Amino acid sequence: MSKKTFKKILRSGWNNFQRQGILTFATLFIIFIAVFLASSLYLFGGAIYFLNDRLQERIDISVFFKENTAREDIAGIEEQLKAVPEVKKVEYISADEAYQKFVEEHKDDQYYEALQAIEMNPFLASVHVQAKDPSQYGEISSFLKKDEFQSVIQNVNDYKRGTVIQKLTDLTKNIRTIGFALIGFLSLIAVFVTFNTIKLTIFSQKAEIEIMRLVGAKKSFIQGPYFIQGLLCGLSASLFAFVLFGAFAFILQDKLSGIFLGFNMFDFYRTNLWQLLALQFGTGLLLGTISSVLAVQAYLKK
Amino acid sequence: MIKLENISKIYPLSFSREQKAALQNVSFDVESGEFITFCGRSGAGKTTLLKIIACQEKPTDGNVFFEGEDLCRTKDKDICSFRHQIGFVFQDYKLLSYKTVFENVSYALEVTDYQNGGMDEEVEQILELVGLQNQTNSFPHELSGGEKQRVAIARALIHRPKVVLADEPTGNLDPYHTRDILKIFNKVNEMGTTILLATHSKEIVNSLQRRVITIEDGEIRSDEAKGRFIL
Repeated sequence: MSKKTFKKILRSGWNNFQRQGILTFATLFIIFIAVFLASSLYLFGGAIYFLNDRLQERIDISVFFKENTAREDIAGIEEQLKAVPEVKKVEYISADEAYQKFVEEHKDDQYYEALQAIEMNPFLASVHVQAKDPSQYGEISSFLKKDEFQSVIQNVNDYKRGTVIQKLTDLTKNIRTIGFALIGFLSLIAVFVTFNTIKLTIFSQKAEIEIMRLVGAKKSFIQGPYFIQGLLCGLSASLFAFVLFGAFAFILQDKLSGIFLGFNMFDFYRTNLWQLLALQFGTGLLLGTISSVLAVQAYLKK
Repeated sequence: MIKLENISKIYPLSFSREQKAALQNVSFDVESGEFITFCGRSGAGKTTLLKIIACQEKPTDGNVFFEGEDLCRTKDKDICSFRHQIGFVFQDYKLLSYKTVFENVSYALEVTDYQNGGMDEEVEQILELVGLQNQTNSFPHELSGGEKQRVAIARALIHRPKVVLADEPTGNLDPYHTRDILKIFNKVNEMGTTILLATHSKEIVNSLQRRVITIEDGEIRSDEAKGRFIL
């Protein structure tokens, strides 16, 4: 294809894009919906990961030490715990810290009054252990039940946790599976609906394509402008989706943060900006161009 | 220049096993520079005949030769080059609705890979010939029927075709515009372009006083060098 022909195709595609108002709008709108949906699904995927992480963070094993256990003894157990491969994080909370934490959390309610009434610190020093994977809590729990620790450990707070932890693990796995199945399903619907809508809009161009063929236009000369038009529709739709999605993420960040356990939509948008850009422009441009090429191809074969 | 040999075209009828013959054993020759009128009632087979010559339809039987080449065996990719030698004018104009008058005409030149400079001047000249020099930037929906048809004629002529196929080009026009269009065809024919015109208008056939091929029920009823409307 010569440079001159390429220029003609570009100009023709641009003219079609500008002049075919309703057709351009319909195509642009449906691609915009698809891109917006793809972005929402990406965000949903991010939210699922975030929720999963938060749930896992909230799962731990608390080891309470007998009163007057020396800090060095606890530190020794801490070191041994840190050496266990399954352990992700070990956090020590002294009796005083536990007292302060309780006071902060309950300063306005009756529990605080009850605490003051007993005039002593009833809390024990504790160590909170987080596993790398929820399924590893059983092994950590067994490790803590060794005889050598029983002289200093009051109790290991994993009663009922076995089942709770297992349930939470199953739940997060299910949320992830269902979430991604939903994303896949909705993406397929989006592609299908977009393709058919673009096909219908190009159907109205059937007569024009026939005229072009009668005049003696080569297939590339007919298809080229539609490709450019599809590209421009995809580009504009992606740009609109990008701006609007960013605006929504910014406006709704506080409201959604409450629902999704602190998941900040706008932060996610900013930190994953390049991936989102690639997703939005990739989806928009691919839908615009592939649909237009396939639809025109159908009429060129006849 | 063009030779049709025993052309038949049979269409299967929808919802039944019956078939309808649009053309049956049609044969004739066209010499370069001729002006031939195909006349016949609606449904006689005139449009089918022009479509077969234009490679828009393939005949069920028979052969069409253009300058010795069998069009029925022409590959799809070569049809474009063949069509660059033909100009088309239709009753319903068949203009590209999103292109201006200028672009509609220049499109026919662009598709031929026209390499010479001065394309704009050529388009302006042809638009002047059809009297549309002041409407170059108008879109088809802004034009009258007669103007649209003149755009279609300009498009059919811009690439200097050897043959112009015109299917009921005056069907939607009033007598004044009809006269103008026929004048243009005569002028173009005088310059050496072969014209094949399909019409059912008695006035046009009789006023032209050129070769007339009368078609009735898909068959040639008469072929006269200076014919008249006989149906």
